[in-house]
Amino acid sequence: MTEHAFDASAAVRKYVEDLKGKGLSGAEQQQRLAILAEFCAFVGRSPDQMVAEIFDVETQKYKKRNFYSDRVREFSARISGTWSERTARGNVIRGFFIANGRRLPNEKPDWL
Amino acid sequence: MEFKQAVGNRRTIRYFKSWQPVEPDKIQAILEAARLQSQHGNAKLIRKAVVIERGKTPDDVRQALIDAMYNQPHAQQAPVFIVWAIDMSGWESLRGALTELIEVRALNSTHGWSREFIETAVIPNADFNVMAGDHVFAEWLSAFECGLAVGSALLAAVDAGLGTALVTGRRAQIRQILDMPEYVTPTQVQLVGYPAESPDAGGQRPSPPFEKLYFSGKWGVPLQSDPAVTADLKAAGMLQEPAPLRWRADEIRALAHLFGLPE
Repeated sequence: MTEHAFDASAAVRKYVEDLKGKGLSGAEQQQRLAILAEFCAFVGRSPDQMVAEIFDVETQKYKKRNFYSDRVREFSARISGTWSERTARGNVIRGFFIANGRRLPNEKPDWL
Repeated sequence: MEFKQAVGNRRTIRYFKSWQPVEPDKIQAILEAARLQSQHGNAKLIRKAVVIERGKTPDDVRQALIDAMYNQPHAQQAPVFIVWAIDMSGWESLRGALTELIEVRALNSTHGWSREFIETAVIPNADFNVMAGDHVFAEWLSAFECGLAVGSALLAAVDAGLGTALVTGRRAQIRQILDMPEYVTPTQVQLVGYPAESPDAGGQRPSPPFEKLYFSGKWGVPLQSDPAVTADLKAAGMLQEPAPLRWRADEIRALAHLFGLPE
């Protein structure tokens, strides 16, 4: 996927609007978009494809939620670091889905 | 805590200190506040609750309930759930409850009450004995009455220095997990615990203007609020600084980091 196509994606635009609304700096936004682009490459799908296939609008039920939940976990585990650092990386993807109206299960810390 | 302050402090708390249990006396006070709330015909057996406590209730039951509440983060965190339910069989107590009110001199002949009046005028009247008429109305009234009790329970939690929230869930699943009979309907689940967010939770939530909600004399004619009373209520803590307080976004980021949640 080209950088232009990524930026032009409806799902990415929604995510960017969401990030702006939260008052994140330009650098923070770019950092998150880079992680999202990395995840798209990891699963071999465009942002719009991911949003389209996780949820069946007709039945109003999740379709590939477990698939994405597992991939996000694998994606998080690819970096070394603390639990918080790895979870924060996965949470960028969760945040992307949330901005597009879909929710993936969150990770729970051991103490919860 | 003063009543006005408790009303003003109430928020739906969405971040709880999962590690801090709630003292049993506080749970009891919350339930008592609900038990004593007004109820049509004093038929209080229609509103009941199951209390789930972290570390006391079997963990598989608690986890199943969290799942039934859509795994919402505040359900995962809250150490106590009060699952409020409507027991339609409780309406069978109506006759006895009314008779008891006569015996304790709450219902008096000054207002036309007698045992005979209960039998011949009240019990056959579907406006009063709701199970004698349209069951849709009976269910509606039951929900209303349960809601009254829950409203008190929310304020009692605030009064005890706790955070609280009402969440919905998959009712059929909740009924099954808790072995509720078919005539019992789980309503909302009240989460209770110590707030991990600041007790003002970023400020008082938006509410429609007073004049849009309340009318004078006829529907649609706005009842005007008095600015002097508004000032008094602000001073008493009932009307508070509206959300979002300026540090709220930073607080949410900190809480997200603490609980490992997406921002």
